Amino acid sequence: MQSASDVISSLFWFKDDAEKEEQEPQIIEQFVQNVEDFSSQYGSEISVSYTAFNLRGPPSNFPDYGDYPQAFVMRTYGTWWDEAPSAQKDYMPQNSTPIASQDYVEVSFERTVYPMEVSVFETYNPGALVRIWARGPTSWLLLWEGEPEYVGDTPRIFSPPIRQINVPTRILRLEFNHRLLPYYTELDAVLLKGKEPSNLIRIKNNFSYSSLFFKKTQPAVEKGQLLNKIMASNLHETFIPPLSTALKSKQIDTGPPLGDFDRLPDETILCVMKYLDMQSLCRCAQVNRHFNRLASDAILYRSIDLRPYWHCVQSQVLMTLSMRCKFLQKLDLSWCGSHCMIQCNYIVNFLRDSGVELTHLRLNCCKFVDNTVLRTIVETCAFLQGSCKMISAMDEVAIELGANCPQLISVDFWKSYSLTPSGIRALGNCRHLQELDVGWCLQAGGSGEWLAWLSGGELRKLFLGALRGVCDRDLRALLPRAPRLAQLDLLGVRAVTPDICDAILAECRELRLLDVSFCDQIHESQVLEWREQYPHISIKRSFQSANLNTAPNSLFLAPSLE
Amino acid sequence: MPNIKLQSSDNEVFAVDIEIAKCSVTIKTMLEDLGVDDEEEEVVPLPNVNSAILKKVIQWATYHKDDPPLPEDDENKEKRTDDISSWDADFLKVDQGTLFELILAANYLDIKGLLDVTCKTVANMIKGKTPDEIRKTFNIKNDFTAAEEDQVRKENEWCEEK
Repeated sequence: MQSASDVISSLFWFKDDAEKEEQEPQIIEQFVQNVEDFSSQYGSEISVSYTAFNLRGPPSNFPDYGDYPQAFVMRTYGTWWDEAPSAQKDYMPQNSTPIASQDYVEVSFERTVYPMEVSVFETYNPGALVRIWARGPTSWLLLWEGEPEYVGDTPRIFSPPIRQINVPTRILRLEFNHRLLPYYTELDAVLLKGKEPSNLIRIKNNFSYSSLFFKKTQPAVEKGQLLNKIMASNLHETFIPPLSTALKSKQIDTGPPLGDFDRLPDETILCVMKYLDMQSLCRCAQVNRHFNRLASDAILYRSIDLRPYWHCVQSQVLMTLSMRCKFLQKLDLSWCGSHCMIQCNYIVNFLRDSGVELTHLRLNCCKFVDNTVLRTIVETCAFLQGSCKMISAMDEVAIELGANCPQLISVDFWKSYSLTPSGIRALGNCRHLQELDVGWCLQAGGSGEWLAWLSGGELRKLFLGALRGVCDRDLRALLPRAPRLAQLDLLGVRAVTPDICDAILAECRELRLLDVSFCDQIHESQVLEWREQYPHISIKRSFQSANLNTAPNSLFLAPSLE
Repeated sequence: MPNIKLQSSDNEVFAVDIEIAKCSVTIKTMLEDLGVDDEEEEVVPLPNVNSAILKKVIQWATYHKDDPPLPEDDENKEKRTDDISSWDADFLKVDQGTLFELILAANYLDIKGLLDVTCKTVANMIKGKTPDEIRKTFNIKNDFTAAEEDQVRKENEWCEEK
């Protein structure tokens, strides 16, 4: 992590130098101009609160610490979603690396620069950033990756040391893993510092954003230190990574062609290859003819996950894979295809050639999905067992589910604004329901009477975030019927009182998560008491620093539908 | 404890607890098919396994004798390779020749748990290596023509870090 003093020193260096040598490339600092894409956001489409949009421009909260709607918040944190009945398993766990990405946001800046420093302003539960990518003219380049961490309750400007690349960029993608965090993380702004390509017209920029923020919180750098920093900094040179010296491989003349593998039957070599990730398979295919044939065997490509390779999956890759995917059953193409890296006609051809036996298909955040692709999926993939669509008449869906799927285990209506109590009531037929997320289904939130209709016998997770009409009486009616409840989200359910929470904590013996953020009738001291009394339950309560000049609670505006 | 005698390819005989020997599906089936009485002092010849390897296999099977049976369903099998127990990792700190002999033995004797862990170990030796490093590690000959090599590189270099 780079400290604030480093940033100051490089800024000072720049200022001094800019006056002396006008010929040097201009170093500029810019905040996000636009949010291009994101994998999830807590906020809704009809309000700016808690949306990715809030990453635009300079920080609005920093250095205040806490939960503010002017920040970007993602939908999940910790491991609660992995523990829920709906948790999704990877299709190709061999691909998993120690640093898995769970979410991303893609941001663009006004001017193209050679990136020198990326600073992320984290204002609530920092530590989730694991990767920074830069978009080059044709490909993505990794600038930094690191382990997720839990830093504690403190705001920070995170500027990890980034790889110097000789490709200018104006688009960054940040990837996150928030598994270690106790609650939602919030991001305030992203600052990109970089050198403008020298052929561009330079705009003199003596103003430095970072000096504004760092001067507030950091002591001045001592003289000797500053000089050392300047001496150590190498900003004059555009660093060009050395070309990898391709050593001509020596032919191994003695011994059998497959070396140590020679005595193993093909079937056993395939047993080894079953444990290989996609990159290792592709490398094995380049070893020799025999390995090429084995590493291309369709048995290894029944369940493939290209999400970890989103940054390099181009249309051409689908053509190569198509030849290997004769038995394809599960396919995850999530996150792939941004910036037209995958063209619609290639995916259509791929699905026609290899999608006939698909039982599982994930296309989260895939920009290439259009009507043609959807039609191909419907026409080709007759065995598909699950799919997800944006539906405008959720009540009909819920009623159909209630009528036709009495075995339903999990349903997620989060932010389905068209869902009303009559829709949820229909789910009363689903006697095995384990998981129901109706958070932010604002039309359903006028009253919580429908809770009485739910069959709670097997209910493990119930998310009621922002349903203001739900009150103690409604929960009281559900409690005795939901003995197995493990996760309950009451965020922003303003009517609930400490009394009902006492009952929930005492009666739900399997409860592990209770979120009472923005429950106005519950005081902080009460939450602290509960935490002491029920140490095995994570009781969540968002935090706003007291010295903020704006009143945070009034800013917690659930979007109105009018 | 009733024992069974196993004879290696180089004619060494090992007395093994019959329950431990039965973790090998090959031996188990053989005993069932032949109807070998537990009381009999039968010698089972294993012409494909030498004494050094058989000794290792027995050591592994003895340590793992109380393991729960592995799931049959191959599709749901854990495909991760970072979950090798520390005992197994230590046990498999052997030269490459021995490791491949163990795979062969596990394959021949049909000991799923040992086959899985040895295959995982070899997979871990492949992971992270370039094609040339893989060839060097396992003494594999590159029999591609220059044109073929060029072609397979083009097809397979897409997932390389840029």
